[in-house]
Parts: sequence; structure tokens; C-alpha cells
Amino acid sequence: MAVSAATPYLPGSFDRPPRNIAEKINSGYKAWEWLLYLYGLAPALLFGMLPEPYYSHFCKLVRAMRIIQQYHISSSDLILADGLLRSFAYEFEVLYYQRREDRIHFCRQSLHALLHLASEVTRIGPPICSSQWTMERTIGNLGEEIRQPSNPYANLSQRGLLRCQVNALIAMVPDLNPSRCDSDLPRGALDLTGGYVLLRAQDRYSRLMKETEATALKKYIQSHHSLTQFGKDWPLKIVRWARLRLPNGQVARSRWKEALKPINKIRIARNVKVCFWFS
Amino acid sequence: MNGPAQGDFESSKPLSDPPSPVIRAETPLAINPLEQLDLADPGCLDDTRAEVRDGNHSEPREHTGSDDADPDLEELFENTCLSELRLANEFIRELQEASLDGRHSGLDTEALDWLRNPPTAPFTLENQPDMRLAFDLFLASLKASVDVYNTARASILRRHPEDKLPSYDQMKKILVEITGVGSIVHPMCKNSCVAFTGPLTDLDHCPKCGEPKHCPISGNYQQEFHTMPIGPILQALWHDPQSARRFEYRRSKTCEIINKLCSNSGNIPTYEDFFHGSDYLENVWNGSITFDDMVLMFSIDGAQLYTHKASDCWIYIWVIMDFSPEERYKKHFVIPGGFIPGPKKPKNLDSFLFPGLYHLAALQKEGLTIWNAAIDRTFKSRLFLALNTADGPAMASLSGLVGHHGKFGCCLYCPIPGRHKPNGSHYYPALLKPVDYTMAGCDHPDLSHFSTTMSHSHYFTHLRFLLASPNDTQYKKRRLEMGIVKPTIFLGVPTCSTLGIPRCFGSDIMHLATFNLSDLILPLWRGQFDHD
Repeated sequence: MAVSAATPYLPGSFDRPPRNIAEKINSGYKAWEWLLYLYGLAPALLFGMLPEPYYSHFCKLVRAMRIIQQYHISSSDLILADGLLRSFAYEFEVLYYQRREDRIHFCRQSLHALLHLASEVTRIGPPICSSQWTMERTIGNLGEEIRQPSNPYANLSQRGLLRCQVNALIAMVPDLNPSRCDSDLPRGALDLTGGYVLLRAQDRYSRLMKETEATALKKYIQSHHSLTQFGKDWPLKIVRWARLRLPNGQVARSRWKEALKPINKIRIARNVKVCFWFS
Repeated sequence: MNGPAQGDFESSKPLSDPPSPVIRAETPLAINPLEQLDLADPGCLDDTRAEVRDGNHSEPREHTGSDDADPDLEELFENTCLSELRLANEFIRELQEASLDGRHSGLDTEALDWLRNPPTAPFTLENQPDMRLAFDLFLASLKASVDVYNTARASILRRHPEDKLPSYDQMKKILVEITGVGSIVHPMCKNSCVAFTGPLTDLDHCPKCGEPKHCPISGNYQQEFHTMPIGPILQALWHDPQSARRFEYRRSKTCEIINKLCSNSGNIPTYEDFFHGSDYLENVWNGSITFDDMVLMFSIDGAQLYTHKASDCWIYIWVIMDFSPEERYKKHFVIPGGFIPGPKKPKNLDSFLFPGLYHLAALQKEGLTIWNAAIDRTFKSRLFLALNTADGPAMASLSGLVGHHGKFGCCLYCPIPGRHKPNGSHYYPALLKPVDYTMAGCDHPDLSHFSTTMSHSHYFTHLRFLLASPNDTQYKKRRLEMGIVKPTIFLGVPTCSTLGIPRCFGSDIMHLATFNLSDLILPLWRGQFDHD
């Protein structure tokens, strides 16, 4: 239902999209799925479904967790998150446990841990820096290298030792690293510098902008730049590109090629948040 | 999921068979694995149920004399009577004695010489085209089977018989020669009870299950496990200018933070890394971490190798915090530290961690000789063990604190007590006091959610009291009240090279934010919350 229906709107770079939670809750819902569901989709999907005050109560957790899981946490956000987490924990006891002896078991350690989250950031930095994601990932990529089911432990140890040696070797001779070829641009790509790369497909011929396109572009340029004079070659001739690699490594796609595919075959990647930094 | 109707919140009606989501074998809220101390949940009320009134009521006395921040462990250990605790103490003592030439070091003279005198010339394959080809082949077929390498090698040799391409086995030897990275092998119990390391080295039979160390027929070890000493790997990471410069991240970040602190009246505007935390900065301030040192994070977890078969395997890794966050968590920079084969869970985790920690502690004391290829300089670096992380149950075995159902079940050792049900043995950290609730030991009045503070200073006082337990009954009682099961093996790491106990144990946001909280909230919404 709604959870899996959201799949086409989550870009492919967001890894596995959450599956239908109503069907899959007991079949190994993965950490990443929980993360997208609880702190991404649930606030929208549960709006109007989860009654008040439970909905607002949940939103406190979502807001705080969205802050606390960042690599960069500003002090003011941290104070906000601390307040939200504490009041979430307090209201949890009021709303759910209700001082009832038979409900003491609602108050698990996971609830208590929230009280420490923010103050731990001031002690050891953002919790993502010391999270178990790394460990789980390492188990994953070592585990998939096992080639010998008859003695997996010995094989795993050998793969681990080999990993150590290869990591050491690649550090000593960096150009041995096979994955370094990634930095080469694919055929036909155009490096815009600043980390932006246009990727194919590309229009074979340039064409004159349509009237509406030219007006829209003009408006956009005028609202962001002081440029007001347009030369006499306006409207320009343009070439469409299908994809743009962003400085963060994600690839955004344009509507041109995306719209050609049926909605259930794609993971839409054209909604990009652009932030301008002025210094 | 279907939107929960208002009535769904009435989770008090017991559901016949509440579906408890099985996330994976190592679900953090699963049963505590501290089986080495016969009780599944140390520190919970079962402890006092076993108690026979012995009238020997005593309270931990505030210890005067030595400073608790830097306690004298010998003095702490001297009154220990119980054998399990004495064994834990022994491991810590051996670790304190750690030295590269020591009995448990496991390094041959060649490896020792490498650690103390690493090569001080750049390594290059430029004049060895055959070797270069062999390595390219080897790395390209790294994820494939050995056959792929051998077939490709044979094809090349058919076309160019004069090329000198080493075989796969020769390549493995060459790798060791170039990098100096190998593994130390130790025997262990066939049933994964203990490893024959440290104080258990000379035993011939497992002290838990009695299985012999050697196979009676072949005379070989029944089962063995590998530990990868971290020293040579760290040396290799400095052995190329490009790689060595990665270590500069911590140095420049630290300078940046200190400048920021000076210009911003001592406040940190944005927390971006472990180095923005007060614990790191304090250790830089007091000189425990210098720019020549390296900061490490230890992380351990148990993995089920096959979904439908008992195949537990524990792995620990080292993360080098000196690298920038964009790099340090990546496959090429995460260093596997050791593997603990299953299929059962290790009963005495200390004995399996011992070889890796012994090597670390020895390097911390002696200093690791590094050749910095970027500026052609040889120097001694100390390894600072900043954080030890694990998921819930594994963390309890690392830190030696009670599990999450204990009276003091907070994994950060905060002094907030839990409450338990009239007939239940598990404690839950409910801060508000239930209505009409009288329960010896946990009917304390409401505690505030908004003013919890953290203090770790009571750890050593409590540990001293626990260790001095005269008998098993007292031990269980004290374990409950102190929230400590045993002294953690990390006490053996030099105090100036770690954050200190229990500060060096982090909490894990991954499991908390995903499995633990969803497991708490969703069943409540759906009216399917498990009843005791």
C-alpha cells in the first residue's frame, strides 16, 4: 500500500525503498527501511490516520531524530533535539504507560537511551560517527566473499586477512586500486567543473527554445542574478541532457527521459534541493 | 499498514500470539548473551530470588585514598574470591603487562623487527612490470575464485612464456612480504566457549565444557581463530605520501576546532565529528593525544552467516578516526581485527579479544614506529583507543555491565534505577512512579525527564564492592545493586591511551533509531504490544 507506492518517488541513490510494512513487518524489515519509513514517510502517511495526541507526540521524535542522525549538528539544533527527546520520553510515559503497574514494561531501555542522546553528542560527537552501520556493512561485504560453505569460518578469516593485506597494499601503491577508474568520465559526458557532470543521453541536434521555455528561463535568471540585458541571440539554442551528476555523487535525471518510462519502472530522481551558499 | 483506530491503543488486552518481529539473529532486544554467568539476565531481579538470607548487608563505602579517576587495579583486585571474577582480573593483569616481546605477543623476530624498524623507502612497482601485471590480475580477481586468477595467469603465460607471473599461493606470500601484514593463530575450544589465550594458554581442556584443545588423533588444534595485529597495517597506511596525508585530517580538524573555541568564547557552533566532543578535546588538552598519535575505534558484532543454520560468527574491526569521515568508514579503510568462529556464541569474549588487545596495549606502551612517506620522517606514534562500540547485547559483554533488563540497565552506566512488576524479574527505566506502587528497592518517587545528568564517577567504587563479594549469593545481590557483572577487559588498556571506563563505551544510534524504537512504538499503535 502507501509505503511501497512511494517507491517510484525515492531516488535510486536512496538504496532499498521500504517495502509494504503491513505485509513485511515480520520478515526482516531492514534498518534502512525502518529509517526511511519512521523518519521519512511515516509523518506523512500517518497524518490523519494516527489520532492526536499520539501523532504530535510521534512527530517530536521524528524531528529530533532527523537532527540527531546528521553528520553536522548545530548547537541550536542540538538543544532543540534534546528538548524534544526529553519531552517525547516524558509524554510517552504519560500517554502510553500512564503510571500503570501492569504497563511498566512499556518503558524500555530504548526510551531511556533517548534522554542521553543529545548530551552524548557534546561528549563524543554526532552518534553517526560511532554507529554500528560500519560494522554491519563490513559483515555484509566480508560475508558475501565466503566461497567455501564447508568451512565458512576459516574461509571468512582468510578473506579478512586478505582484506587487511589488500588495504595495506593499496595504501602503499595507490594506483593499484581498481575502483579508482570510477573517476574517469563515461563516454560523452561533459564536466561542468565544481563537481557537476552532465551525463548522456543528449539531444543530437540543438534547437531553438520554445517561447514558454525562454520566458521561464528568463524569469529564473532575472530572479537569481542581476542580469537584465539579454543579447540579440536570445532566445538561445539548447541541447537537452538526460542526467546530471551532483558533487555528492548522486545522479539527478531530467524529465525528458524519465517521463518516457512507466511510473512503476523508475525511481524518480529529478527532485533536487538546491542550496546556495554565500560567503 | 492499516491506520490504527483509536481503540487500538488499548493494548492492555492480551493478544494470543503477538508477532514479535525477528529482525535477524542478533536482535538487540533478544536474550542477553552473557551466558558465562549462568543467569540469562544478570542484574535483574532473578539475582535476589536466588538469595538466601545471610544477614550480611553491606553497602559500598566511598573509597578514600587513591583517586578513582586513576585507580590502582591491584588494590581493587586483591579481595576477589569468586573464580569467574578472578579469571576476568587475570586477563586484565596480563593485558597490563603487555609488551611486544611478551609471552602472549605471538610475533616472531621478523615481525617484531618490522614493527620496530619499518622500511623507510617508498615502495614502487614501476621497475617490475611482471609484478605489476600479477598484482593487477590478483586484485581484479579478488572477489572471484582462485581459478580465475590461475586461468588468466595460464593464458598470459601461453602467449608470453617469458613473463614471470607468480602463482596464487606465491602471491599470498609476496603480499605478506611487501605489507608485513599477517595473522596470529590461537587455539580455541571446539564449542567456542573460550580461547586458550592469556591465563588460559597452558590449559589442555576447555574449562567450561571439558573438550580437549588438541584433536586426539591428529594432534592438531581442534579449532583455531585468527587475529590480525593492527601495527603493520597502520605502518603500511603511512608508507605512501598520498595515503600518509590522509592522517592530516585529524590534525587540521583539531586545529580548526581549537581556533573556533578560542574565537567563539569556548562554544562549539556545530558538532561535525568525534573530535568536536569534549572527551577528545580534553585528552588533547592534557597531552594524552598528540598530533603524532592515531585515534582508533573498536567495533564488534555477531553475525549469522546463514539464515537457517546456527552459524554465529563474531567479528571485530578497527576504524581509524584520523581519516576524514568521508573515507574512514569505507571498505578500503576499515581494518578487520579478528574473527571468532562459531557456530555457537563465545562464552568468554575476553579470551578471544585478548590477543588483539594485547598487541594494541603493547604498542600503546612502547609506541609504534612510523615512517611518514609524505615528509620522510620516522617517529613514534601512540594508539589512542577512543571508543568501543557494539549493539546492545554485545556491548554488555564488552563493558561488563548488566544487560538492559538490569536494575541499572543503562548502557552508559547512568545512575537511574529501573522499576519492576510485582511478579516480574525485569527492570524497566520508568521514571514516573506507578499509582499505588510499593516495591522494595524501586518505589522511589518520580524522577525528572528533564534534568538527568551523567556521571561516571561511581564506577570504581561499585566495582570494588562487587569484586569483594565473599560468596555467590552476595555476588548476585551486589551485581543487582551495582549494575556491574564483571570488570571489563578494557581496564587492562593503559589509562592514558583510552577514554576511561565506562566512558569509552558508546551507544549505537543505528539499532536504537531503527529496530529498537520501531519495536516499541509500532506494536503500541497496533495494539499488539507484547505482555510479559
